[in-house]
Amino acid sequence: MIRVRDLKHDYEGKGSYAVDGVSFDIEDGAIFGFLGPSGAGKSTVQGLMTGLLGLQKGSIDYDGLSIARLGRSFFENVGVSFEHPNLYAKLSGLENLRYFAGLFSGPTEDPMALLEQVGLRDAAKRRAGAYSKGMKQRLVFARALINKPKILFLDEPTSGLDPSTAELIKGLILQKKAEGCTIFLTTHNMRDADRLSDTVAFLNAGKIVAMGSPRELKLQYGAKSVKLERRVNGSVKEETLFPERPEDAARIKAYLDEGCIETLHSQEATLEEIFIRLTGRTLA
Amino acid sequence: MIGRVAFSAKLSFRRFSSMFARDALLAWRNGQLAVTLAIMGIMILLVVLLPAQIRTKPNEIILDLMEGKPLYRAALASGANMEAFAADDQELAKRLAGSGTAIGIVARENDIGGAAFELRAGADMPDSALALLEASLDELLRIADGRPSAERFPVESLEPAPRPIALNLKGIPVFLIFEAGILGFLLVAVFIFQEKQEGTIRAYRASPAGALAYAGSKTLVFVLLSVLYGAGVIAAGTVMGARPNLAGTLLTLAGASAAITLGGLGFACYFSNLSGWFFPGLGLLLLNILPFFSYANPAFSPWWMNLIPSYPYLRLTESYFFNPAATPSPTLLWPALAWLAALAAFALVSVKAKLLKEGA
Repeated sequence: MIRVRDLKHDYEGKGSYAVDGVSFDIEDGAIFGFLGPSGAGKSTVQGLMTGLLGLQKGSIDYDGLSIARLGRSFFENVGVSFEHPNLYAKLSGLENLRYFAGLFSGPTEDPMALLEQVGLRDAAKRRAGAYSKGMKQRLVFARALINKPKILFLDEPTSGLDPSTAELIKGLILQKKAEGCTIFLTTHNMRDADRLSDTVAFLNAGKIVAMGSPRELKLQYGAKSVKLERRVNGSVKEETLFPERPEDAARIKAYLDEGCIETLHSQEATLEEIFIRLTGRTLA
Repeated sequence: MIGRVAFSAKLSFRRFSSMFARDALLAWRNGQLAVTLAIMGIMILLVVLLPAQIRTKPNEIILDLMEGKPLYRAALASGANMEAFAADDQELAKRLAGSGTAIGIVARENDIGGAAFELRAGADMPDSALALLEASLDELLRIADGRPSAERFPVESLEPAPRPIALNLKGIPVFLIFEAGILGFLLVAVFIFQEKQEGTIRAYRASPAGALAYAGSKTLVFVLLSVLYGAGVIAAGTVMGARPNLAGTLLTLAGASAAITLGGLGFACYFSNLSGWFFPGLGLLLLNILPFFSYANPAFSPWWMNLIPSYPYLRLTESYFFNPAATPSPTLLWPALAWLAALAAFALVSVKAKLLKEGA
């Protein structure tokens, strides 16, 4: 279990916190979606959680052990996928993975099998510098999996990918979760977060403004509504009604009794709408 | 306990060999091997094509206008090079115009029957050259007059006189340390800035490998490049007649390469790109070159020269290269080892503090 408490980080030491009082827990085997716009402090939190940034205030514990006491062996069980592809351009995809595999003491994945999984088998021997952005992103993702990590930090793993490749990556993320991997997913893609995360936290200006499962958040912050289409004098009319309001509940019942309803859908607030409602900002 | 140590050693070797293989491959693909080999080729050409000795024509042209030409006769009697004499004023003027750097000396009788000399030079002569010229002319006049030579001071040699070193071999210690001291310093910085630019250093930060493996693998690559380069230059020197202490020369070269690579690596950690590094790096490179001037002109050896890293390595290389039976001088060996230890510590601290931490 990962426990983060009252995390604060000030880059310039002038009392201006990029991360201010962030606390959360991540259960083993869960996917924790960390959502927020650019500059919200997501990367700072990830940097602190991976020990790449020095801890200033607060605590980060992995299974009860403070990150301050974990040496570099901590990374034996951790995989990190970066938002901006960072690869040796003059090494092939296969060479990049082989080199990285050599840094770990435990068993590692077969580099070629990983390349196959992310759809890069045919490009395995091509230099990474010649890859497209999407291919580089997939290679970085594959590199994060090379050491069979127990904890994965994924920063915008589907950014720049075409829909079918993004689906492939999301499938692999869910597969790792099924294998018991704990995943910290940083993204501003609300749909990905909604689909993949067990818990999401909204980060704005260095503070968590809401946290819970996507369903909980939608129930808490979204209004319950239904969208229906009914036939009126030969034409289709669309309406949004709120069943918790007595007058709207009565209308829905009346329409059902009349048998004029053609389509009926429950309406949930999206995570993006909730974020905008809470912060007044978009995620872009 | 022994099993744990053996496992740890095996793991360290696996990690190190993986990093070394990567760095060696990058050195090849980045063209660093090609650059080193090209410079080695140039140095070999210098060793092969430079003459062993530069023979110069007399730089002084004498016109003896004195009665009976006593200077001319004295020179002839003493077996001197007679090309130094001009037959008349016209020839003197022609030869001076053709040379550009020669000095004309016109000897005439003065009013009281003594010798007077007129110097014709294109530029002011330094006092030391004038004094030497004066002494030479005085000696020539003594011979001409049949007077005894000036008093000579006894000279006692404490050691056998060293064999003169051929000009084409003289530069080899500088050629050897040039690669380690200049190229190593520059190329390792290029390596690090490439990793920073590509962002691969961020991926390395998130791995269990630490500063020792990072600095060690790069240092080994550059040491091997230096030894390869050195072997080529030394082989050329051997073909041209040198008889070096091969093991001593190559070990010194490897030590110099390791020390300067580690220093360059540590220094580059404090800059984010090559343009920020350029002027401070160039300053250090120039400082590291100063011992080359001291080597060419040993009179230029101020006390602080000993504090420049390349100095003890250059002098040790010189000692091993020209003296097969050389034993390392403690005044050179200890500073060389101290520099290696200090620069290794500097590199490890810098990599840990500046490269393996985000935003440092």
